[in-house]
Amino acid sequence: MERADILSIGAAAGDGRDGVTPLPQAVTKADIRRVFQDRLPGPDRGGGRDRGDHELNPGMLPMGELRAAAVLVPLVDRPQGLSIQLTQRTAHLKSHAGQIAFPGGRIDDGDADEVAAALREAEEEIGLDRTHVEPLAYLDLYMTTLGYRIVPVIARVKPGFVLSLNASEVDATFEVPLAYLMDQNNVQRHSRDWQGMTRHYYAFTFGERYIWGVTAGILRNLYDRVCR
Amino acid sequence: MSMDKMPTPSTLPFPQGDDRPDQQYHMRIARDGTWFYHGSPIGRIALVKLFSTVLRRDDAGDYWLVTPAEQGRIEVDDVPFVAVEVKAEGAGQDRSLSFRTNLDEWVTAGPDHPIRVVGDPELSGAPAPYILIRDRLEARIGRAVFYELVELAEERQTPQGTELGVWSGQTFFPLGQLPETDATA
Repeated sequence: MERADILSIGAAAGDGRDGVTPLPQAVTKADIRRVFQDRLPGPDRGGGRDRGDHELNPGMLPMGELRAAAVLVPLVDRPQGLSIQLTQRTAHLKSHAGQIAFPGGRIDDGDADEVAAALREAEEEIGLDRTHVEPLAYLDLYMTTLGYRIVPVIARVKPGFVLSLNASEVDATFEVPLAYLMDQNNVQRHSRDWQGMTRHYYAFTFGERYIWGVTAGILRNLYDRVCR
Repeated sequence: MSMDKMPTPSTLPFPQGDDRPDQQYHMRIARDGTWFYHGSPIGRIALVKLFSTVLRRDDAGDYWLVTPAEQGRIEVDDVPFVAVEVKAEGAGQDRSLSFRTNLDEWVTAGPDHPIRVVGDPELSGAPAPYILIRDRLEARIGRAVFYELVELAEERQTPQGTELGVWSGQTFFPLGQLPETDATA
């Protein structure tokens, strides 16, 4: 993991938190249903605003055409509560090597829509069988500094699935309790110098895992929609 | 939470009073309310709405985007918003005038959202009306909307002559002086 490098380059501003109140209770399926009752609206998928890396770094707004991508935000319906299935990308990839990510990727010409792309990518990357996946809603789209326009697809995942990792893309998968990721005491803000500018981003530490950047930003948007 | 809800302007204090470096973002709001980034218009209104929630104006009148992590100046040609629609309710002194900005924010004119009219030097002194949206951020009242206001206006006698203005929020907002005419029309 590149975590040590990242942390040493830029120190967190202040205590790295925005002073939001911690979530009082665990997030339940009912919360998700209540918030996303407008199930999979279209066609803008945006939820009214374009979120992304530019929220902390307005000067890093991507220019020109954005590449369309979709990710699956898999809420695994465990008896002890919802958890989020994440992947750790293979260390030798050209981009985002070793980073924690949602299953997902570019929308191909053959994909009917964002849901189709997210389901396909989850099958290709970690072998998540779509019969276990119930898409619930789109989260606000997320624009990245590198020029991706990511539509997160929130889905309930029925337990009992067996994963099979595509070793060329994914090194490992793991689950994090949704309540942990929705607890604002666990969100930090870090920074590093990148292409001559200071780039700020959100980050979570979960055991030995370091979740940051786009994935942490999307998790924060989920918090904004569900918990605020 | 509705999908169409206007993003809530953030309550981040400004100025921060910390040692974050100031920078200049390559962003500009043109007189017609269009936002430009590196010279190209930002076509996505959802993106502009998001930036507008972190827009601030300092004591010197400069405009800033203030995020939880950093802050930078942007250029604003006139004022950041344009009022593109007005809705009138009630009559006389109890009238209420609500304005919608180009970013779909609604305010009702009154003591907290005053209307002011100045002579626009670029238009040889033609009236340039503005309404305060929030925190020193104003909207220019578009021409069509201003004509609607003039239609709704009432006359009031003052020592200086006859004044034309509108009521809203129990407040009279002058739009201009009527010329002293002796029915020569």
